[in-house]
Amino acid sequence: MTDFQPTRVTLLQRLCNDEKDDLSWEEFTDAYKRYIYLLIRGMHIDHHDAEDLTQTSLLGVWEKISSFDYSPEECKFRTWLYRIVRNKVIDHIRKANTKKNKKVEIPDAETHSDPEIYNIAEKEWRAHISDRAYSNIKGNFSEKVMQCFDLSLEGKSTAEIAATTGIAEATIYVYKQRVKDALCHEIRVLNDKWS
Amino acid sequence: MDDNEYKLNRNVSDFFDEALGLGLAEDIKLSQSDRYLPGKEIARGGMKSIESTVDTLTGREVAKALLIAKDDPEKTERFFHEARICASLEHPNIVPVYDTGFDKNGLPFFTMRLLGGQTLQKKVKNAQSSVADLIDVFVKICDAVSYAHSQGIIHRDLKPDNIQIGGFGEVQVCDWGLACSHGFKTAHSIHESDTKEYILPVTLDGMIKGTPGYLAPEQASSEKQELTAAADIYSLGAILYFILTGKAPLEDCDTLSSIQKTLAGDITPIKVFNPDASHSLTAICNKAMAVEIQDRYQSVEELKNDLLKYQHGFPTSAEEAGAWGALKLLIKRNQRIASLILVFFLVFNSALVLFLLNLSEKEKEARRAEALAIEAADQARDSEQATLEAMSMLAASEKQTRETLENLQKMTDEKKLASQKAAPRFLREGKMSFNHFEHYKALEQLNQAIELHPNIATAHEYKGRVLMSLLRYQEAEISYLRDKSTRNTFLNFVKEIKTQIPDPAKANYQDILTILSLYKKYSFATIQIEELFYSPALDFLSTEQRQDLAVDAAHIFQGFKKSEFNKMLPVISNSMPLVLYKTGLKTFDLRKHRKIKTYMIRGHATEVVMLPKVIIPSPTLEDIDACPNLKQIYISSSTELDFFKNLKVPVLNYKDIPQ
Ligand SMILES: Nc1ncnc2c1ncn2[C@@H]1O[C@H](COP(=O)(O)OP(=O)(O)O)[C@@H](O)[C@H]1O
Ligand SMILES: [Mg+2]
Repeated sequence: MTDFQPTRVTLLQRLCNDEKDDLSWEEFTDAYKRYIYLLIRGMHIDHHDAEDLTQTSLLGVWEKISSFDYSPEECKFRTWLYRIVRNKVIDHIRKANTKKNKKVEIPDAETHSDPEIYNIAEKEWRAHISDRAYSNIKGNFSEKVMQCFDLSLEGKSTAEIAATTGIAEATIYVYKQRVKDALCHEIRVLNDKWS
Repeated sequence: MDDNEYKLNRNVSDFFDEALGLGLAEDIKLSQSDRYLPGKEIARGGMKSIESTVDTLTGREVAKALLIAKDDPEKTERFFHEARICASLEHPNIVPVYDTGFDKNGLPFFTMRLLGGQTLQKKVKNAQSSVADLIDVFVKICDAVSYAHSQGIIHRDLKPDNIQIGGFGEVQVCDWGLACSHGFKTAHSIHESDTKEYILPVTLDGMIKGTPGYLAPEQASSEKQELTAAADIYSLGAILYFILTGKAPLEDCDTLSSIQKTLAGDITPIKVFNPDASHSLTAICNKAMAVEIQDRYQSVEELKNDLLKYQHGFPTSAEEAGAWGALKLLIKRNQRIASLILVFFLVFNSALVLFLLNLSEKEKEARRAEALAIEAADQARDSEQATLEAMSMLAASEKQTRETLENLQKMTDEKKLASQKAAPRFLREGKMSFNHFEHYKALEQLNQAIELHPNIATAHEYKGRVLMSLLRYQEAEISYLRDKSTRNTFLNFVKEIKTQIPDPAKANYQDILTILSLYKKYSFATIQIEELFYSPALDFLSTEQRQDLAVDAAHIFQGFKKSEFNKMLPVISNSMPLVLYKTGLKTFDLRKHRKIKTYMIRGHATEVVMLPKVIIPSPTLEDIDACPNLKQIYISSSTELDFFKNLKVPVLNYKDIPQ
């Protein structure tokens, strides 16, 4: 586990300082849309509703962001964001319940304590950032190199990869290392930029 | 956007931890086995060999202690015990232990600060220092031992060989190989169930642990006794003996007779070797080396106080100061710290001063006045008490000073950390300044951030952008090259512009047009155009040139057909009012302007501003403040009037605009 890094001031700083414009909206959406979607799906909402809720949550966060008190030690941005998203989801379920007049269970999100929230939020954040980093760097490598890396992601041993691809094992090591370095680097960059 | 935008491959998540922070941990793990370069032996004691080596992880030179009997599990145990005890003691006069473990050859080791100096043993044997200097050293040894005792640790092997003195007089107590906690029983038999072997004073083969001469009688005796701080106090006394005589107590005896003599307290008097030795110091030494524990000092602190008193010329508790002795001391003090004492005596007992003056004139008279002296001394006792207190305060403040110095050292370390922590703040401020188009301020703040933390994310990119809008392309290129986030567009732009405008410091109107065309070609965002238009680098343009530039920019970026500035004004105001900055325009109509920045209104010419429908209050107010000749502001009905309550300029609604 990494330490929870206090959310650094980059994208957030612009947003919190009322520097909201089209550009930051785009960047904000880019950075948080899928993440919010993942959080909502994590509360057992189906894809269709989750999509709607993602939009409303994004807007909700966008509106409230100036009131987010930016002091990294006190409230982590992602914990704060998680709470907003969770409230939207709870609202949504309550509304649905009165409409259909039937009981859908409110996700246990309501009872989550802060450390639990933190853990869920962090897990999704890692998945989101890592995957985005992966997409970003993919284009920088040849297909062959990426194939080796993908196979190793699937848990294949170097020997197996060598057998499948006909590439020498030593070369596979080098390929894997190269992609891994680039990936880690990109993860750091994205995490810095969007946190 | 399609549904795929939500898909993700969770297999990659594992790299997150590795990417963040854990990289360093990995490095440390890897380098652990190879952490220390091969060293060379610089010294050797009975137990350990000391090498000097380099810690590749921290880059510093360290001393590495290795066990000589490397295959002995019992000694290995004690070796690590020593490292532990020593590491638990944090004191300026105790050698700091850094690290311990098994090295790559599988040998137990610990590392500590490399001490380049000499041992007290050599220092005294080579007669390099005065007794006064050595007493200073001795006081520091007492400090260290007193601290260790306060932590419940007794050293048990204090001797000049185990005291290191650095080039600048730093004193460090080493070799905690026999150290143990207070109150351990000592015995000869390993079979004693409640004792661990390694605290026994004598090993099975009959070798005494500790060194004859420095060993306390209770350590040398065969009876099972509780070992207490008193044993260290005895050894300290023996060190003092060595300082005064240049010889260890019982130096010339064989082991057996030295034990017998230790037990009997049969130590050659100091006066035999050094007839000039101070009576006070001799008394202190004798008291510390008393055979019976109850006759010794009861604490190192007590011993140290006597030394301090000696250093300041007061009778020590070890001396039986008769009236005449007190008088001698009085005179001695009078010589040593005449002025100080005089002041005290003037204040507290001027009669005694008179008496003292008499005394120095006529010794005989003084003798006759002995009775008077006793009386005076009695009287003086009170004032002396006060002086004494002042003295101990002085000593205490010395200690405080030392502690303050140590704290200062800690603070500089913390300051380094703090400076790293401060970097993000400068970065934040730099970005903020740049957001407000304060180019030079931003540049300075970003430079500061980078100086504090050269790899801080995005600082180089921002610096590049500031430099780019200042037309300092050469430097911008360097910044972009340092930026790790691979913003290739900026870098490519800078490379291309360099070939087209070789000397941007002398840029003319035509050059600015070239720059704008390239901005278009690279599809830079509006924010970049703002950064350029509001840059001080464009201050050379005249009002007319600014108007031309507005027209040209509208053409380049919006594709409007070029015509006269005044004719184009309405479309420019709606689509790209930023280019109206410094065009001498009196009325800004920003009602249809979708962006929320209003920086372009700044200037002396501006008289009327119709603000956009949506504004951000604080920066807009600043922009308004930068228009000294403003006469009128119009706002939309959705804007709160409250924002403007401190303005002198009248604020009206859109609907009040005269047709
Ligand atoms: N940190 C150090 N730096 C330099 N020399 C040292 C250091 N520690 C000990 N020594 C030297 O090594 C000798 C042996 O070390 P010591 O700790 O006394 O081991 P032993 O337990 O074998 O007596 C000492 O007398 C001293 O001269
Ligand atoms: Mg030693």
